[in-house]
Amino acid sequence: MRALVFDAGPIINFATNNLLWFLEEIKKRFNGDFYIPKSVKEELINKPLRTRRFKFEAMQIAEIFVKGVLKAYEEDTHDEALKLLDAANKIFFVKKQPLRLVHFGEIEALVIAGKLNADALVIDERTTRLILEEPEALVRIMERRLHKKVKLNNDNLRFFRKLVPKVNMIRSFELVTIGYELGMFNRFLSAGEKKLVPDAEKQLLLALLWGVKLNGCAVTEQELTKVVQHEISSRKRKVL
Amino acid sequence: MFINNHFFLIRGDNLQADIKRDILQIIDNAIEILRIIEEKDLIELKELSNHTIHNASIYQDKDSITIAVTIYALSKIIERNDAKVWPSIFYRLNAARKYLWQNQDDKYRKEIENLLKDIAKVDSRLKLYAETVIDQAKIKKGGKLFEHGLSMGKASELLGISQWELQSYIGNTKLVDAEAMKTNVLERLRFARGLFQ
Repeated sequence: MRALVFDAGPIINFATNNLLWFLEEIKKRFNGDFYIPKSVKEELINKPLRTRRFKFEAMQIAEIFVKGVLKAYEEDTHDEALKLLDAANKIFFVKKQPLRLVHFGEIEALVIAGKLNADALVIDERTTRLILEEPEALVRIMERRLHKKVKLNNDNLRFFRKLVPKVNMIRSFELVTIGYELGMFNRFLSAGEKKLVPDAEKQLLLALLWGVKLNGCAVTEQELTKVVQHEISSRKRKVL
Repeated sequence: MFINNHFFLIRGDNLQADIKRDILQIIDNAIEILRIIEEKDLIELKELSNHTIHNASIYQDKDSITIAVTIYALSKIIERNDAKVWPSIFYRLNAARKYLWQNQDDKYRKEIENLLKDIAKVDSRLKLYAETVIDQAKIKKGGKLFEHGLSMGKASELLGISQWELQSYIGNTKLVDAEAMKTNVLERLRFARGLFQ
């Protein structure tokens, strides 16, 4: 069975952007299961239920759980996630102090993606992605902010990578772009709307991508501009 | 001047001494700023609240985090120009400084906790429903920890806030734009496209 594993960030992003319906649509197209770690379920439903500001979003997430759009991964991954978390937290050092950069939930999502041999991990979070894809960039960020030398322990990084199965990572940003390509947002492009909104196709894409960026997906403005140019020129080519 | 004294009082190079020295420096500066308050001082106070963030990122100790939140929340309360609370703020800060100076850590923590309670009391008079000034301060400092390389989940955990609040704050800043990445966005998109064909 095909699977995508989600960290908390993209689900929070879709909920705050009123895009949980889109998750349901893209799941049908994917033809597989969408999982989250058990610890992430607490962050997605129980915690916001205790607030005033995000209570309704929590209710909407509860609804997609009931519908089976999202499933909590039920097998016990606690010990494995702890082992991996420990390894992740011994990669970067200031003086001799290890920098504990990542959270249990983020690491648990990685473990589950490995266990399920998932097609991808959907994670909006910058730090976890950088540890796996570009640890040197993380060193640069930290050195600039801390004004201290940050040492990357390559042995520990290799050990961490050995524990982490090869997992591809995507963000809510890519999912929404694919949804746009597949016409899942075309209901916002009716003739009436096109009359009301000049250059409606481009405006819709900008609205979607800025929406996910402003709600916390770690994507740079430069990346966003590049994707908009790419998508709009692809559309033009198709029309021609 | 104070900082040199502290070097003598808190001897040794251990981690705790580093943290204490920085907290003492911040409290001293805050007291100094609050003596004759001007508009520019509020900006200074907000900046001061970031001085323990380096320690908080590295050691992740509660004291560095709490003082950063406290000083930021203090600047917001003072911004509202509620002079009635100033004597109690002064009293608490001086007491906290004295206890820390005497290595009475528990009493210091109690005093900071009381200061936060005083701030919360002033804040409750404004009758806001959603975010208190202390919540705002926690979110701001969470953003700083994220800026220093911590993940969103980790920063939320350390500040005791939900990821919802932090994510929505960080999304509205340019924090993720600061570093150019090597990863090609169009390649990532191509991979994602392949998942849905």
